[in-house]
Amino acid sequence: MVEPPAPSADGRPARRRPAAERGASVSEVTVKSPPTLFHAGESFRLERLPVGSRVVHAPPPLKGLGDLDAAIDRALDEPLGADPLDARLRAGMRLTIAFDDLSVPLPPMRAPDVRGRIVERVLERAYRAGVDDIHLIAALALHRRMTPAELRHALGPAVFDAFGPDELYNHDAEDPDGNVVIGETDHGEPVTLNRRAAESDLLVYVHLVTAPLQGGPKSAAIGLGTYRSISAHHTTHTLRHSRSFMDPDHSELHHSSGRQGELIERAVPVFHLEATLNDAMYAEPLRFLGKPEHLWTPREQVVFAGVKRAVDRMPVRARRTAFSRMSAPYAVTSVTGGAVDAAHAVALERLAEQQAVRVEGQSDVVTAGLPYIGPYNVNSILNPILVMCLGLGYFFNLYQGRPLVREGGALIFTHPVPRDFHPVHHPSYIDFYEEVLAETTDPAELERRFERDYAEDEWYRHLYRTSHAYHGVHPFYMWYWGAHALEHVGEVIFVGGDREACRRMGFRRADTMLDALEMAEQVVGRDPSITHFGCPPLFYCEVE
Amino acid sequence: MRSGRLLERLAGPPRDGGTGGSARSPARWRTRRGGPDPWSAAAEVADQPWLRGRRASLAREGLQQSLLFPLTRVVTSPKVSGADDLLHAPQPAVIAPNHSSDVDTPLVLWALPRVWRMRTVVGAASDRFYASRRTALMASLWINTFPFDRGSEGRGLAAAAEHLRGGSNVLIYPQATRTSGLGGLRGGVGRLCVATGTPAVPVHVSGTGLLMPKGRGVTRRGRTEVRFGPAVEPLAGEEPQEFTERVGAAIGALAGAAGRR
Repeated sequence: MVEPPAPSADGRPARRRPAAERGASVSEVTVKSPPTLFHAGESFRLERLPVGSRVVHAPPPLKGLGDLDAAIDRALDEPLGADPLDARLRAGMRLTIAFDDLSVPLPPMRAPDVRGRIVERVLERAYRAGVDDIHLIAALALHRRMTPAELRHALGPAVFDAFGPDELYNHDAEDPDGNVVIGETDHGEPVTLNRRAAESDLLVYVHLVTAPLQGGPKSAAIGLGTYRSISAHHTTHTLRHSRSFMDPDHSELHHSSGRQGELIERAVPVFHLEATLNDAMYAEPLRFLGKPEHLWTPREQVVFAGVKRAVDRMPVRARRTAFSRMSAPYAVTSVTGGAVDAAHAVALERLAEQQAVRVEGQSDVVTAGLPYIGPYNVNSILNPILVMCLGLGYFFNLYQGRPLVREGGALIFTHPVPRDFHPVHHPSYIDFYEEVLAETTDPAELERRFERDYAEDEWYRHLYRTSHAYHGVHPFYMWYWGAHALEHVGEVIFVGGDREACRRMGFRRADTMLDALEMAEQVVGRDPSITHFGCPPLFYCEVE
Repeated sequence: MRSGRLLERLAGPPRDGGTGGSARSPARWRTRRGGPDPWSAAAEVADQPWLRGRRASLAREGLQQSLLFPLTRVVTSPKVSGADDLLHAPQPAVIAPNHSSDVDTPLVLWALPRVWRMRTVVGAASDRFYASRRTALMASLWINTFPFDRGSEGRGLAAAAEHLRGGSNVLIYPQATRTSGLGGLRGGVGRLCVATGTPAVPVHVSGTGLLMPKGRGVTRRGRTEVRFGPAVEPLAGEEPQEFTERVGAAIGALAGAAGRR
């Protein structure tokens, strides 16, 4: 007997998830199959995978909400597990609105950004209630400060002009006067918080949930935290025991930061707003890149060929500029408000409708094409450490259940892994690459030997606070992000990767996919099972 | 798809060398799937706004007057009442007929005064009429449709509201699907009219369910009747459900009047 689907977290009947049905979104390579698209930084490759390989495609983009403003109003007026926002606003109060920084979504959303739309509706209500002490804070944790142009894009020109720069600013995790200690969890994790947020009568937190990693109770603890509180869980140990960090129920990272979040909730009244987006990350005329290759029309094939040949002939800088100008025509699929757990549960359900893909069993070899962008190189350069983080951190961990690649298996990525670093955004990455990786690539060892020096380096601290640099400790966290994968897999191969960069990071490289598959066979045995993880667009696998 | 080797030949080898299009490339592509294809369920065709342009409208008028409406009249032998009163009614408005057959739409369009018809767009179920490019183009060209998403997120109503704000009348069926009788009114028309402050024109169509029942083509010819009622204006502070009930009552009154004659 078929059981009826369990109701949704917001009480509505559960919706069908076509992409999560067994075998949907998975095709098998035959002699008649089209070539498989691989992203490779700011370029593309078409590869013929061996017959019998599996290709897991991203699900089609869901339709967006018909009336976004009405959905935002509903989230504010009928929140889950909390009083309506209007009932919590009063004249003379201190209101702080925190919002996720530029690390989401990827690529940036075509204007108007949904964060701005939500913040505008919150501000309308605040004005109506007579609240005039309002601050807006970009909750960027240890990421680089957003530029005025990036803040303007995220919140819209009206909000930016009305509040910036005095009442609209970036969180500063290294400001000795700007952060306060909230306490310590029962597991001994210190909890610190932005002072303005901590001293507010109400903190409204606007989350953008584009992966199961994001949103929920951990956001305030990390986004508005300091090195002291973040370092409690951004460790090799925690990340090796987060299986995966895209599965909040089985993620030590979420458990630890969730405990910190609970402490913050007890200290400060927080109203959470979580928005989810669909997977429409390519605008016309490249919208077809989000579709499986066999659905490309002849016209789209010609466009692809033209684009590929053009970018292959462009100088590196021009290619980067062209790609970084791309913005995505995302549609908002849900806006939920209220108490953190209730709102987050609904957001994760909506995200699963878009991104969950069920896959049967693991593979000996998993291939994937790494794109030009990750969370930490928006308007910047994807340096070798960020390439490692994107592949072994994000792509590897986009699973729930078991990893797509078996223990001791091989990961094959396509990316040029250029030895390029953005000197303003990633200064500590350069030293990490030159000094730390020259000594060791073991996450636990480099954590023990080098992390504190980088985290407390005055020059990096100065650049983080006054320039647009990531915190000195950030490259360490990127390396820990891949700690679970480094422990799990037997081989990592970059097709087309820079020889020196791959060697420095402890990976192998190959000129062609065929070579890489032969190299992988030496590790996993002959005739391996192969799965291609067709991300982007972003999705995650529920591996049975 | 269809054109196998073309893609790899055109795209050339990877930037850093390696293999490009190879002799192994198949002449035609074929895929083997492990389960249902989510892309086929999601493959709805987008709106075709170019078919609402001036030239397309003139072509549509020609097609309707020369083929669609004569054929409709032959099949339905219609009788119309109340249409002349529409000449003085405010536009834009939501045209809200009961729905029992596919022939309802061309019949109501024919019965509308020309000044109304030329400004009327028809909400066509996107999961049915926009499932393929061919049906989408045909529906758009012949009866001036836009895709109406019947999902719970209100996307269809948002698209309809956009047309109303642009000055077009919108023909949508309050019952949402073909139904025998006048029951089963959904709340969409009420929400649309209350949200946009637009009046609804109740329309009662009788006799079409027998001529072209749901799931079948034209089974026979017969007599039909189209009755237009006075526009129903949303009242200040009125709830969408109340407005829907008033529109339903107005359609019921038109049905009663038709039955008494």
